[in-house]
Amino acid sequence: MSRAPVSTASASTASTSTARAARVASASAALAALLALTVTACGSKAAPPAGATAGAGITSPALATALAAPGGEGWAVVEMGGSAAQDDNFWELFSRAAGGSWKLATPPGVASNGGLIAAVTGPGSLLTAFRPSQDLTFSPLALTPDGGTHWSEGNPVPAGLADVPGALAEAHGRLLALTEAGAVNTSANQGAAWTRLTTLRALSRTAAARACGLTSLTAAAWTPAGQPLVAGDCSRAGRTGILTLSGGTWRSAAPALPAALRGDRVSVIGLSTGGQRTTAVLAAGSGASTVVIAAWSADGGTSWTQSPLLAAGLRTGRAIAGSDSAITSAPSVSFGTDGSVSIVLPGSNASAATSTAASTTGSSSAGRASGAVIGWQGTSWQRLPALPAGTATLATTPAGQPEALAVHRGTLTVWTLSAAGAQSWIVAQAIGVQIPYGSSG
Amino acid sequence: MPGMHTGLSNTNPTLVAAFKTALVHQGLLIAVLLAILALAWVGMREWMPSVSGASAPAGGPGRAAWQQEAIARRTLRIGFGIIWLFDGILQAQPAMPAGLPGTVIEPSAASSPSWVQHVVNWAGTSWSYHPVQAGAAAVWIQLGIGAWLIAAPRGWSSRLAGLASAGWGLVVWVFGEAFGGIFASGLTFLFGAPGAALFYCAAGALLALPEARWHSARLGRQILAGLGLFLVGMAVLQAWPGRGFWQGRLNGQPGSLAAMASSMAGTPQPHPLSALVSGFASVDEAHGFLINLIAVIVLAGTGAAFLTGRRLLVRPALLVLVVFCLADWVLIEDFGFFGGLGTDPNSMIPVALLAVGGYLALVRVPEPATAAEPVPAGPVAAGEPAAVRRLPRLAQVFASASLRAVVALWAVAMVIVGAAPMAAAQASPNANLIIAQAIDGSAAPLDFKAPAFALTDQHGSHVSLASLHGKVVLLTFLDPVCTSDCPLIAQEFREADQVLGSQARKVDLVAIVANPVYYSVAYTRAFDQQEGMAGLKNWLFLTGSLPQLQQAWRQYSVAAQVLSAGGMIAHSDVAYVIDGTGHTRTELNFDPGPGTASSKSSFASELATQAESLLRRG
Repeated sequence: MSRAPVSTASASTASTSTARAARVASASAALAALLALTVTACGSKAAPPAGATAGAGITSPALATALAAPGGEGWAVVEMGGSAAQDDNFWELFSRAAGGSWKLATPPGVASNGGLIAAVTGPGSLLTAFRPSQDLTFSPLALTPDGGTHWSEGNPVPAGLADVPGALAEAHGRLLALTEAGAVNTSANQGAAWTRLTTLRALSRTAAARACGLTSLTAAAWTPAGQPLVAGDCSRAGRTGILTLSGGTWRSAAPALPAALRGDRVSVIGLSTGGQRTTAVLAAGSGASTVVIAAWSADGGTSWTQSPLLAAGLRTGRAIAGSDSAITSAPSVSFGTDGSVSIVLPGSNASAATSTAASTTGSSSAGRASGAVIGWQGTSWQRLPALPAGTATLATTPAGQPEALAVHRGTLTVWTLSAAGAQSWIVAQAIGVQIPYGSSG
Repeated sequence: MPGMHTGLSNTNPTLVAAFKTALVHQGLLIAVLLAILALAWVGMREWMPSVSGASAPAGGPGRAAWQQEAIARRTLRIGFGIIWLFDGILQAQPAMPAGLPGTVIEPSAASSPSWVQHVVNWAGTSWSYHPVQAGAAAVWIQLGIGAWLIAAPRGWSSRLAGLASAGWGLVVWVFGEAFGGIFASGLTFLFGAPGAALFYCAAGALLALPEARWHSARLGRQILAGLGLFLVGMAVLQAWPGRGFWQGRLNGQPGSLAAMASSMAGTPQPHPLSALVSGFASVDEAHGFLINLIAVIVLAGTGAAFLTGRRLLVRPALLVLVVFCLADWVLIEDFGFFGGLGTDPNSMIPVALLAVGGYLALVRVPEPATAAEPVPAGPVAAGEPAAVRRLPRLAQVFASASLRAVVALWAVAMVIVGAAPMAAAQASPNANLIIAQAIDGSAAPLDFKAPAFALTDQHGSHVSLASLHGKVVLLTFLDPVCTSDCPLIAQEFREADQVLGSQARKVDLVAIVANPVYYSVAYTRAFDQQEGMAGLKNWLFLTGSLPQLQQAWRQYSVAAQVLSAGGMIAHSDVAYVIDGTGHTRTELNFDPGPGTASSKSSFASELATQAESLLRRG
């Protein structure tokens, strides 16, 4: 096709058009710059500060724990399997008869991906709650009278239990439960009916809670006298959040902290009552300067004895559940029936991917979890040798010796010290568990 | 984004087969329409030679000039017509119905603000509710628009085609391209910003302009000025520091451009192409600063040249821009449609076309119309039969229309045939049954007396199957402490109740506990509270003693197996439809699948449809 001729009428205005075009070009360039700036601003998103979490500096306890029963039995709750993101993590319960060996005792009938919370109810008997996972939003309960051989369904907790090992407490058939939503529920008849005792919100308006600046609830227990005892984190430095309900009023039942901790924020990472003894474990400070202190009361929280400070050097945040390398960033606290405390302090267990039957190690490895134990009203912490890779929690034998329970995917390895006071661990038992991978999908 | 997916595999055979069937059926209908139009047109022209003769233009050069379409307009019209045809063919990929929301729409909105995701989610959800109709609609609408643009060179039909192109382009830009990603970070012309469909809109809008506008160089200058402004803006963005384009490598990782090219090279495509793109990525990693400098200079330079409107500058700038666009199209955009689920050749071709169109509009302006108006279709000659003279005006116009006009009409019909099923489907708030069938297959018709049961409902009342006679029963088996399937199935039952509407009072929704450990009324009640079933009047969650439950499981062929080590109870997912006389009429495999909004709605529709079918039988 030939080119169509351009109209000659436009030639005389060419120079005017060019000048105007140049002006337009300049203005347009400026406008384009402004537009680009605006679009860039719209499109860019401020990156969230790395590691920002609510309550940074407050430590939450790991769900893994060990419990001791009056008859000398032991129980342990650990996470096994694969990734929690794929619902391939399964919380397992192990039991050990007095003088016996550990065995798998996970209650059947419910997926355990969300966690297990246990409360000793007597010799050989245990009450276990399943934490919610996926579309399950309440917590089924299970009861065993015989060390986990037989289980029966208990009445459900109508809401999901909180993600702390101390979310369930039992005394003489009465239950106390902390829920995910921050409520404290109680039942007088083994869960047949539940009533709401209080909520975090209501508690925080009480004088006792305001004095500490209560921000969350981390544990529940019954006092020896049968009164509810709840504990949590305080936002005000130098205060401990332990409260009890007495005469219809919530009052502080917390220990006074040593002077060294007056400037630190305090978390209650463990609370337990056995017989007439109440034991609390507190974490004060944050990051590398975190210290742990145990406190004991024989009168339901009116007066306390405290342990020396234990340097913990914790990272903030929760345990990364289901991680194959069992990297823990939260401490695991276990209690003995006599008020003794065992604690696993987090570290990176980078070599957990290797065989757990590896050589015993007496030397401390950089990044390994460490452990410590202290007896009832003890005057010093006993530091344990560097814990075996993958140690999830510490239990105590009937003879009072520590046992490190380590996990690698479907294997639980029980380590004991080669001798009392020894500096090396030996494998006492290894249990392979048939993890039902993919069953929760 | 919630609700976006069907949750099905992109290549789900049921969905693919249904999609192909829909395309074939609609294609046949479109072919039949073409045949009818062609036969009618030819026949009427044979019957009315005097009317048909009016469509031929009179001779003379002046008349030819009047009828001559501006070459710029023709370039845009045919160019974008071909692109729409190509896009329509791409939409016919078998994986499109299930794959578009998750593979195309969601990623495009992933890094956009939540309000954009909300807008996009609506469209993605609509698509996933009716994936077959939506997929077929996209094919025929785009093919129809493409054919319409090519077939209609001028007049109101051509302008309407431009409007249709602009309109559909806008739909694609908003819902398919998440506003072209302009609200997301990392915006760059090199990756396709501000969205290819926006250029389709621009071209469509230009084609919708009155033809007289094309008979002046002013339009060309305006087009080029607009493009120039855009290119300068993109140059500024490209030059902006801190966005990773100036560095080939940044903190040990490839820079933004190299990373994008590398990811494109990794998509499934012929190896030579992959090697080419991968090679470019390597070059950019080594010389990122230079590459970006070239890009900035090209964009700014061509943009500034276009803004001047001077031919001496515009022509070389156009050449440079076209080469740049082609290079970007091959080396960075990787032709736009390779790998994954490509829907179009991305933005470089449309940009180049618009630039060429603008240039042609500037330099190749047809002479103003001087010839006489074309001879309209005159009245029927006096010598024609009376029957012909009584024909409606429309028929006469049709007979006098050109072949192109008939093809354009057929193209419009193609768009309507494509869009109509989707429009009809949208009238229903429920997802299509095809999704449920794609997950679990079709229902199995049965006819036997349903096994009796006598159990306890969540209120503690005794309920037997006999007590439910007179109503249709939708029966399933649920584990009250299940973490995945059973809550979904309960939701599907609840949604089925809503779908049934007033008919729901004639239907009972019944579940029997399928857990040999947790089966007390406390747990059925806890489950009801959790799933919001407590308020449903016709919902019964039945339990009993373990022997009673085990008997029901046996009679209804339901397995309920206890797994160790923290596993959920493994049980069958099945549903039965029982009529008012107590006969089982249908068995449904009721694995709820992915539990997406569309799959839940589809299962609910399936249940409701089965119940309604029995209610109609009476």
